[in-house]
Amino acid sequence: MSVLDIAKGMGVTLGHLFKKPVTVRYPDEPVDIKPRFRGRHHLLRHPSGLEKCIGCSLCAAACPAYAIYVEAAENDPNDPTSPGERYAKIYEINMLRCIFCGMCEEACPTGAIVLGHEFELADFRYPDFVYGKEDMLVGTKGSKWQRREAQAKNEDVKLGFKAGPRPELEGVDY
Amino acid sequence: MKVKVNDAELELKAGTSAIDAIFAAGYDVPYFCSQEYMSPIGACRMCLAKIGAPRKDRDSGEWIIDEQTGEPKIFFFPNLMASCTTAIMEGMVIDTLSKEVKDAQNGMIEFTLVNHPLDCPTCDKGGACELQDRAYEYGAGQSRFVFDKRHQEKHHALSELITLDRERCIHCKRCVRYFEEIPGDEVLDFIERGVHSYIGTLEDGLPSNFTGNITDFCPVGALLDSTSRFRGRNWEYDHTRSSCLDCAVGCAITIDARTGRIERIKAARNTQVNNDWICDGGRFGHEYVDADERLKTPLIRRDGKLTPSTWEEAAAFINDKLADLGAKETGIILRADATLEEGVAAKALAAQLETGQLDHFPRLAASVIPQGVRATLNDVATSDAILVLGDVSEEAPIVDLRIKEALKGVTPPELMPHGVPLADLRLKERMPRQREILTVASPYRCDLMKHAGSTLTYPAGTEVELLASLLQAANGEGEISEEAAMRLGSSPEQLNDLLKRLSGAKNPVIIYGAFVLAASEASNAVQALAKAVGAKLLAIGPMANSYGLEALAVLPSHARYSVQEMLRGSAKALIVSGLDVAKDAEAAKALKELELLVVHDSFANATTELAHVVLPAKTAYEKEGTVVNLEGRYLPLKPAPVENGQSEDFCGLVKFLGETMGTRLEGRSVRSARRLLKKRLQLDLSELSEEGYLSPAKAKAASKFKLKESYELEGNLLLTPSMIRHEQLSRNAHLHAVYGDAALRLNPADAVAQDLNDGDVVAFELQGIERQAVIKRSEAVPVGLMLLPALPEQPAALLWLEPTKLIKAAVAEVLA
Amino acid sequence: MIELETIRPFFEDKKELLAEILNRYPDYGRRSAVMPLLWEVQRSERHVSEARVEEIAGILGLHATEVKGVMSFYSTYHEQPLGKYHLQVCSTLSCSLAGSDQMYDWLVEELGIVNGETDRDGLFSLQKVECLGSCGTAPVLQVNDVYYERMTRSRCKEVLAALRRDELPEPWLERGGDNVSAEKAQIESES
Repeated sequence: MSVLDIAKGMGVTLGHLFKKPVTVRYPDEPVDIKPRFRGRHHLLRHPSGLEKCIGCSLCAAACPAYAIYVEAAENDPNDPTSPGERYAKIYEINMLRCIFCGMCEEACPTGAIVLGHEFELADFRYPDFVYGKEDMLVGTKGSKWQRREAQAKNEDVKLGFKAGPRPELEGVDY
Repeated sequence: MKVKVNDAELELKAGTSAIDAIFAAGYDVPYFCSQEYMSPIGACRMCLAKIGAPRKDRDSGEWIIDEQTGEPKIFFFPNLMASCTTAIMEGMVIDTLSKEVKDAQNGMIEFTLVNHPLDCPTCDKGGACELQDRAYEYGAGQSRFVFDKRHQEKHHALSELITLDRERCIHCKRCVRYFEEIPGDEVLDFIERGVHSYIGTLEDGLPSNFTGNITDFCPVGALLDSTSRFRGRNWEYDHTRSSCLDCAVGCAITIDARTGRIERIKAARNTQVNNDWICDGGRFGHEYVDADERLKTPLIRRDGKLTPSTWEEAAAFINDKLADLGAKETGIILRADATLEEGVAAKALAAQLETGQLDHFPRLAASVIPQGVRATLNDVATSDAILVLGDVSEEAPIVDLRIKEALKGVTPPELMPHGVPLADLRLKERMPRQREILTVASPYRCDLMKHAGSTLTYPAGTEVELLASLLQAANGEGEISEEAAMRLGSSPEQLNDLLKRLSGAKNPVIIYGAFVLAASEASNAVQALAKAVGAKLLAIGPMANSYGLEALAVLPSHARYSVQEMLRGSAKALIVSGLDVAKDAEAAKALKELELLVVHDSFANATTELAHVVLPAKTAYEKEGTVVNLEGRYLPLKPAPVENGQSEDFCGLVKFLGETMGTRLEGRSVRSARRLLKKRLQLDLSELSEEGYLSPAKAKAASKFKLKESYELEGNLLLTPSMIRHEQLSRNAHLHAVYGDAALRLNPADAVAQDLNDGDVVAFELQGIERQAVIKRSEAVPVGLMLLPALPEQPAALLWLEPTKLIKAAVAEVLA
Repeated sequence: MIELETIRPFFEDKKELLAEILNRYPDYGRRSAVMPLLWEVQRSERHVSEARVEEIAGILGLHATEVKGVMSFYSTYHEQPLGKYHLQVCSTLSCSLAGSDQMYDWLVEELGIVNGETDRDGLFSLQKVECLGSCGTAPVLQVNDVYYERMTRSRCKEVLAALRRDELPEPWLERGGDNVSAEKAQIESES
């Protein structure tokens, strides 16, 4: 190894000193997330406003961690929740159990459940990790804790990431 | 006959169908329309196979030999054959694996799916759907059909209990055939034809007591149980195979529970008992189990109020009170559908308390264990002369179906290696029925009479007379007089014909129920009659384990200790399980005087109002144990996972009480009770097979059958057994919508005389029990008789009720 | 109180006819009489109402559902009263290729009714039916029990005009195939 080689190596190190760092000052600055990152689930709606979920429980069947619980019921024909006869009356995902594998998304016959980008799911109590329909339907931003926090401070939910668009996440706005 | 299926050669009986040969050889073909116990019709064309057979030369009678191989030449049918309707022939060759067959199966699946909506994600059948499975196994996975599918009604309520999705129907005709072949009421049929055809009915709802079975075997999601609509997917249910405790038959059922609730009950197979069928009462009668007002914690009365507590506290409380009482002062009452294990526990507790005041209820005057040759249900199905005394269709609905099986004259199928034959070629659509073998005698016109060759509507209470005159004639002690026969609503010819038929038959059976059991003389007479004509006997006890509890002798040590006496002050402390004894006003008065009243029940009722301690009880669906059905067959009960809080069965109660007493009582657990029973019965109940075990010896009726006296044999109001539990209807919205409140049925002439109209609600007092009923005029009831469903606390009997005492409820409210 | 008009049973005053029909079949095959009974009702009332279905079921000891199942299978029985002239347009392949669809469209326009309907005067009913078995002479229009074959627009107009005058025109026999000459010969010999 010559001195030259050492200088070369040091040069690389020196060069990086002047490069933009890859680390982010999270949470003050948002992290950059790849479009296909799998975070917290979203339940989507049709453009008509009806829920895409028909309560078929196939996501629960596909789930390797048994994190999903679905209870279906019959739509009121005059005021339907989803197209067709059946809708999900209860839809719960236990985020502590979920391994974010995306099998539910693959199993869904209507594209109702999609794993989004939110990952800041830390919370304090067990029940707060069980996300219901109202926590995951399109239009709800942030984790339960983030929303509680924002409400207490009376400001908007601030998400700690930015990500490119993903077509499956129809109607989800970060 | 020698048959070759693909590479397997097997020897089968003549008359076997090709599809059964295929399954017996361990191969598989898809099928939709074939169904065990029903006629094969070849409607779905799925079970196509390439079938051929050797042929004999017409002149020489020799097998035609293939010149190349030297073996008999196989002549294949020019087309693929539906294997379900093809009988096997000597030397038949069946091929299910060739490309030709595979292509045909593939094509048929595609064809069947042309008009099937494929809404599997929302369909309740998804995951347990035959079409789904077969399409997956045998289909191409893709359809070339790009046009609009057929559109028809998606949710048509065939009745309150069954929803029909006409788009999903694949026209296999199972349900249509079922109604004609099994219950014998053709209430469903195809309307229109070709692609337009759909299943429909012109009847109001589905007037049959066996409608739910069609939801079990519909190969697609066209016929679905409305009560469990969208309650869960098939793979999410916990399936528990158990026995139904709604009547004395003990049908095999599968309890489907999810998240601690029973969502539905399906029929399971027991080839000895119920084949594949259960009645609607058993199928839909479970809803009360999940009612919100279910008792889930022990309650102790403190300062006049029942306060939540624990089992240990309750047991200590009971023990304190019992300690002050002497021997023979405590009474124990079990409901007659308690398990054998609970019976053992009750006996052990009674022994510990040194009391003979132990009884089960409802219990009728006569023993439910016939003295004579017992008939099994398969005996009924193979009988060639049947005499029915009473209304079996309501009392034990499956017996009704087994009788109808006998009318077809086809013996129950022999089991094959794969179970019940899929296509029994002896069964045909619209078979002629041998109605003449069946005689039905009842105090009123009952459903089964439509199928009977000879019917007899005798005046209520004349069972003894009827049987005595039959017996007399059978023994040759005297002709039946014209006058006597007239009095019984019959003729000497009819009665003599009946006797001739019974004594001339190879396997005659006499089936009798509550109306005969209510009088010991009648019961003795029927047993003597059976002996005289050489008939077997089938007695229908009032409840699921009447037979078992009687055989186990869960009975008082003395007639003055029967339930009736316990409720009239013979006991100072009472432990009552499952019965609302305080419905009876007089009993309620006596119960108030008790030192201690312990009620073990699932719901609050009049008795819990008076109780010092209320203990939550498990229902029939949550117990582990054994019951003995009307044939004397031990049947297993398995607990379904139901959210029932701290509920315990009677064994649990005995366990806690024993612990506080400081002893280990027999029957403190199901296991301990079974240890005792094993010694006594030489039978390990924990290893009981699903089909149950028929007790071999002629079980003896309890030697000292204690009851004070027989019931009255005169009256104008008959308490009748019913398929559905009227006492639970208020907690069962679906069944209530179909069957309504308990009905007081009477002849239109009587109704006019009393100015009562259909739908009038009447309130009245019957043996001290306040009853409410809806008036239903019915031609089936003879003039001068009224019919009212019995209750567990008020079993079948003939009573007097002054029609003037019927107070219309509206009036009653004003009076109150 | 309004007295509801009670429907008199159809076979009440036709006891002999009923007995004759029932006598055609053995006792165990009593249900076979469902077809002739339905046909009697259809012929005289031009439809079979639900009350009649129930009556027939009662006579034969069947459930009404079963009678309905038989009745709805055959296109000869109708739930709604038919017009005096029942126009049945064959819509199966041969007739369809030969222009029965245009004939149907023309009839729809001309009569103002569509498939399965009866016009206001109760004169015409229009129905698309499956193959009438006369493919060689397509397209075929059947009026009540009479076939009108090789229909053209002018023939259609002619038939319709005659029917409006309340006359059923003579059918013209144009059976195709082998038996044309035989039929002709027969007609000639008869005339």
